[in-house]
Amino acid sequence: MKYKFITLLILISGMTTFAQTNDLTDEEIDAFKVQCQERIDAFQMGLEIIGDKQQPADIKTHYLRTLPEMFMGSGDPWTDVNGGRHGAVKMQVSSLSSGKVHDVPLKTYLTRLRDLNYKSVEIKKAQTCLISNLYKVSENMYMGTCTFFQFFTAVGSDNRVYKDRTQKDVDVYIQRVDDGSLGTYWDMKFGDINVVQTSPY
Amino acid sequence: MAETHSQIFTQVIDEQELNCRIKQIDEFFMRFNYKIDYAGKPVEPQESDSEPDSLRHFKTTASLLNLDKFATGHNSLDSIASEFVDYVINSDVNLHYEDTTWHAMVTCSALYNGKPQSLTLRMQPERVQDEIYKWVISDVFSPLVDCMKDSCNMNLRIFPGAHGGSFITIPEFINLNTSDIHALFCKGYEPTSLAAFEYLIKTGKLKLQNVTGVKYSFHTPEYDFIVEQFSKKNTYNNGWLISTIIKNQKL
Repeated sequence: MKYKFITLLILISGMTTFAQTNDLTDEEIDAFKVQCQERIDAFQMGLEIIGDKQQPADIKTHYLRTLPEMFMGSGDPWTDVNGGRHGAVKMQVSSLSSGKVHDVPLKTYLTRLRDLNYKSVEIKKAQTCLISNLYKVSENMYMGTCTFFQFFTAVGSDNRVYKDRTQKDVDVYIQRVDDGSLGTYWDMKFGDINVVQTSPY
Repeated sequence: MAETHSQIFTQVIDEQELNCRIKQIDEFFMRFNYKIDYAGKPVEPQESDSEPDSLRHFKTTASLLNLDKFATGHNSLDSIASEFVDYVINSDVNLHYEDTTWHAMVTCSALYNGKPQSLTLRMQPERVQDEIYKWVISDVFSPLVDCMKDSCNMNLRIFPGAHGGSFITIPEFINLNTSDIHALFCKGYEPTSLAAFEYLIKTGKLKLQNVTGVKYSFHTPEYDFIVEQFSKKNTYNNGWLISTIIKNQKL
């Protein structure tokens, strides 16, 4: 009896110390993580196509138009639920070796990716993907961060090969939307992307 | 011999290295609290694993350290790191987002009146209600606001009969005693860097540009430590790692 009581006490005290940054069920969190992974894969596929020199221009144009729709404000400045104004979603690229940082708006990044002056380009993503805790922002909104790794390979017109590996940390926003006809559903959008240049591979 | 197309584009991705890397500060928390291990795998309570749990726990905690700094040449940890790891494992210290014992130091590039300037924001989580938190700025460190912390001549005062001359001496008096202006303010006034920062931002004299670095400081009863992001070559010891350990003095 005494043993059972102590075990129960440990369980209860363990529960009270567990991080409470959202009110979502484990099932909801697992579902969001699956959805997030799928969205990241879709975004990655779009980048691969935009960067691929073998793809036709009209396909690339399609992805240049649709990829920003996966992001807050569709790639334009946006206002959050508390009235906070945000600039257009951006890639913030930081080099750990030089310590230099610069921002590129998402739409500019995508256009530059299409126009890269290489003979061939390949962008691959590692399987490793990490989704942080989810944090409740307001009554119907939650956010987290998804980390994934991109491997970029390109060959210039002089046959020089350029390779780099980056860690990308993208903000993920999940919002409950009450729609008169569709009922309630969860809408997932990406936010700013922090790009950390890691080592060449 | 030149590489062929397939050789160039053959991706050899070391997933194990990416799993071992501490990719997010949330992941650092999980490893510190031994919810996941050094390879990023969840730690189940009654796992029948070939590796003894005590060894796995030790490796997980040791992997939180920047081993370039804390490992000795004999595949072991230096004394402070070794004591710290023992403390973390044996005292069952845990880290939580909602704790008040940690904060971030966020260094930003900025332009002050058009000239480059660097400043650091001290940021900490603050509860709004129920499960909702927010990050707040609790202090600012920059040469721009350092003067707010300078000591001054508190004997300085505006004479009691100054009103007789309609305070005609005030402008020159203030201009000649700029570093001691604090002494002229009412009782209870507390100079803060945040007030100076607010003024500089609101008036547009200071424009923040980019985040150029982030460090996290943690406080536990026996040790304080700092976590920074590392990206090193040819090692699995990467990502958010402990760069500094300070043993707290017992009172």
